[in-house]
Amino acid sequence: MTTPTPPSPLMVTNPPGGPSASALFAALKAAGVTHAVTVPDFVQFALHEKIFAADSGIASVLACAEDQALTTATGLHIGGALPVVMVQNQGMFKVANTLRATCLDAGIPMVFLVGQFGREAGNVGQPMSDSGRSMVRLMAPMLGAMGVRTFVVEEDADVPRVAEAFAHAQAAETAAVVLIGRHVTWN
Amino acid sequence: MTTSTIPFTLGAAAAALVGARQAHAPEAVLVSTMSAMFALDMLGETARRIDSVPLMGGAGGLGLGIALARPDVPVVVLDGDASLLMELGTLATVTQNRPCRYLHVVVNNGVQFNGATNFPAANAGPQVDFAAMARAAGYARSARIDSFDAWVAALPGLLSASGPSFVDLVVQPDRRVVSEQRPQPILPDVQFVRMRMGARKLKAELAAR
Repeated sequence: MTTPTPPSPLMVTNPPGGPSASALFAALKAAGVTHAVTVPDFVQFALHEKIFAADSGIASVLACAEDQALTTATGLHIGGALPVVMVQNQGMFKVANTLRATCLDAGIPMVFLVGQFGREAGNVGQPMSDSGRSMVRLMAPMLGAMGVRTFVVEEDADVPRVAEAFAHAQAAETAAVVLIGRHVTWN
Repeated sequence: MTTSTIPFTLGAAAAALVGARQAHAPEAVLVSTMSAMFALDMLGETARRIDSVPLMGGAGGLGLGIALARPDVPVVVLDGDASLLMELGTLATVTQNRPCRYLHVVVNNGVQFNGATNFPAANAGPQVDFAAMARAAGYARSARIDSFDAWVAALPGLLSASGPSFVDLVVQPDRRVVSEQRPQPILPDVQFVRMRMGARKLKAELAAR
């Protein structure tokens, strides 16, 4: 019998809370999402697994990089599907020019679920603008500078903002970013 | 004049593709970028078409998304060599998602700003073997084509093939026209709105058929 590996002293326990995979999945289904185009995200593990399930009814489209995820999602939209793009904050920084070309200049409505990877435990319950981690602190300001609205989801009570994001993207023919501020829970 | 006397330029290659699409797959969608876009403009080919502009590297993904949404519709991507190199992972993204009818053509002229300054592209030397990379990524078929005759002969089969196909289309760069004596012009407004207009037009065309 092997001895269980003790947790690394470098790991910090995730504080209780966070939006549930089931609530987020239900919100995507209610919006009519057909495809989840993704470079998978650490924050959204549980939602990814729910979508990967063979009977989820949402097709998974895996991309090597976020720019490819967004252009593929753009093609899906043009072809009549309703995709959502699931990436983490680092990917959103990387994808800025493709976001400019597709959603801003070409007016493609697109909802992104973006995990706030790297958010420290001490920032939970505080404004993300106070985070000590640049990828967390700068995400919303960077999107704001591009004129992209963000919808923060940190608990199940915030999940109705997903529907608001879809409504905004369709009405304004642009991008809408749901910022997932906490690890998605596995229930 | 026999076809073998025709210099293998992008214009000649695009004209052959347009003719083959009309004859063999009129429902096919064209996704183009950079030089190929201007070649199609010169031919007046606007039906069921979208351009990745101004966005180098986006054509492969755009075409993939259309092919996944509409597996009944063939998709032809006219990519650029420098563009594909920017998003080389697109090769794996395409094969991972197994589009039904997807022809990915990389216009390999070895230059950037084709017909303007013809700066050497990153693949200009040593020679990058795009066909081998596509084959290694899992494309169902992949070929290097460097003559007009071979391109014309291959097109009917390529347009009807299932799965992802790849062609490394080796063509001559167009003649350089920009210089100190003839500086580059300001780009027209249409260049910055054509993707918006193209997306709306193609979405409507696909919804209709």
